[in-house]
Amino acid sequence: MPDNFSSSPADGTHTFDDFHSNLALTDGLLGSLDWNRTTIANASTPSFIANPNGVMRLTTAGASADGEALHLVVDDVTLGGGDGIIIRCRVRLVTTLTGNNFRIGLTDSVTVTEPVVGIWIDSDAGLLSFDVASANGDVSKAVTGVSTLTSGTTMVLAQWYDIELRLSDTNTNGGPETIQCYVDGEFGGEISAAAGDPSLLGSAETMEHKIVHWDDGAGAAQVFEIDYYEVYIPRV
Amino acid sequence: MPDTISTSPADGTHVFDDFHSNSAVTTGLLGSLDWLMTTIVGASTPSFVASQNGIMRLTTDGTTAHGEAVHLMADKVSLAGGDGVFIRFRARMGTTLTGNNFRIGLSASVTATEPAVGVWVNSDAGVISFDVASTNGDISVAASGVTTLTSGTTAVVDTWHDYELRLSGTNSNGGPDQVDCFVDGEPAGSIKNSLLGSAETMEFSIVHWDDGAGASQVLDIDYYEAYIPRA
Repeated sequence: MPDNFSSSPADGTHTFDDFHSNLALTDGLLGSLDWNRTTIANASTPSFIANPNGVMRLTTAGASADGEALHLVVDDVTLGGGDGIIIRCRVRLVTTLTGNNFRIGLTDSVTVTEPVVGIWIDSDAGLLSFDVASANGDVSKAVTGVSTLTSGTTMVLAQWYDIELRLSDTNTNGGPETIQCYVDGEFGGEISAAAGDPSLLGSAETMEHKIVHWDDGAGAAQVFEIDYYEVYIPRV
Repeated sequence: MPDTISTSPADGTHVFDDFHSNSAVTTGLLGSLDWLMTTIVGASTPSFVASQNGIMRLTTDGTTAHGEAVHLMADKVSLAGGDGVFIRFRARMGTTLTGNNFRIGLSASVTATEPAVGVWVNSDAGVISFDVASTNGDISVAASGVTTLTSGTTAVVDTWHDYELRLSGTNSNGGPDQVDCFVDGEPAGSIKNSLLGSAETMEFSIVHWDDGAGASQVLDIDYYEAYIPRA
């Protein structure tokens, strides 16, 4: 997958935030994409970290089940089939792994409840998986075999990871059929017909761009940092 | 420096404003990057000028020592070493050169006072120089030998000039080692052994002020662009 995409919307929709814009933290003005913010129980504190490339930090309020959902284009993102769609981000978990959870990608949930529809990367206390949920059925796959992850599966504390989902082919519901996950450029697993479990996402099912971070057990101020968020959807 | 750079943040951070978005002139909403505005004593008037490519104009209020700083990411930009970082813009000074000053690039100051930390192009009444300031030491070099500048050194009033700083290498403080300046594509000078440290913080900034004319000084900026490859 090339890192470089067409710069023209005539070719596709390129949505990304490098978190190197003004410092507004307001709902509807966060980051260069003007992310919306929805609190999960008690609000997290967003902040920006000095860095050559722009880093946004989310710090939870300090109680279990607290967190924040950042989101865009509510219920207005759908995915047809075909090749060339990517969803990727660069993230790290800073304070502890225990209870430090995120979901990043396209989903229909702004709470800690698992989305009914979406394609996302999931951290459960640093244990990585990826998921394609649909009203037609939910398929989840654990990340395995990545040399930079502990036991091939789990993020290392305070370590940056590049995580990417590559979508291809078309399923019987008109949505993407194959989802491959890469972590730091290494293959981490696949949801596909060839693997015996294709994505069932339909082309009319709606989602939104999403970064959801919450604590589910540490009861501490969990820190999560994101260097960039990027989605590319070629024009059909 | 190639004009075509990666479109993905996975490869590097590309910050640019072509000033062809909505016409808001409110702090936090200026330009497509939602620039912040900080007044230097008396506020300038930002406006947008009809053109093919988008132009933002800053006009001072007619009093000496007054101006405006337009900036982003206060104290949140640092530079590690390595090649491929550039900062560039296209600007012209209207009305007069006398007292018509700017600093454009990365800096730690939103006043007329020279920044303690930063990498920027400087106009002092049109005389062009470039500077790398650090708490470890400050190095400034005058632009020279550029055929489109008066005497090779001075911007021409009401004339567009393209300015570019190209950063390369790594110094002993972890920051960029060499800064090469180009004006209208011609070499204008070089700073070697910059002392900027990798932990020193700056912000994207366009600072414009009058320091002597007591007139409504005009600065037009066509675009601002910075690229910082991911290490």
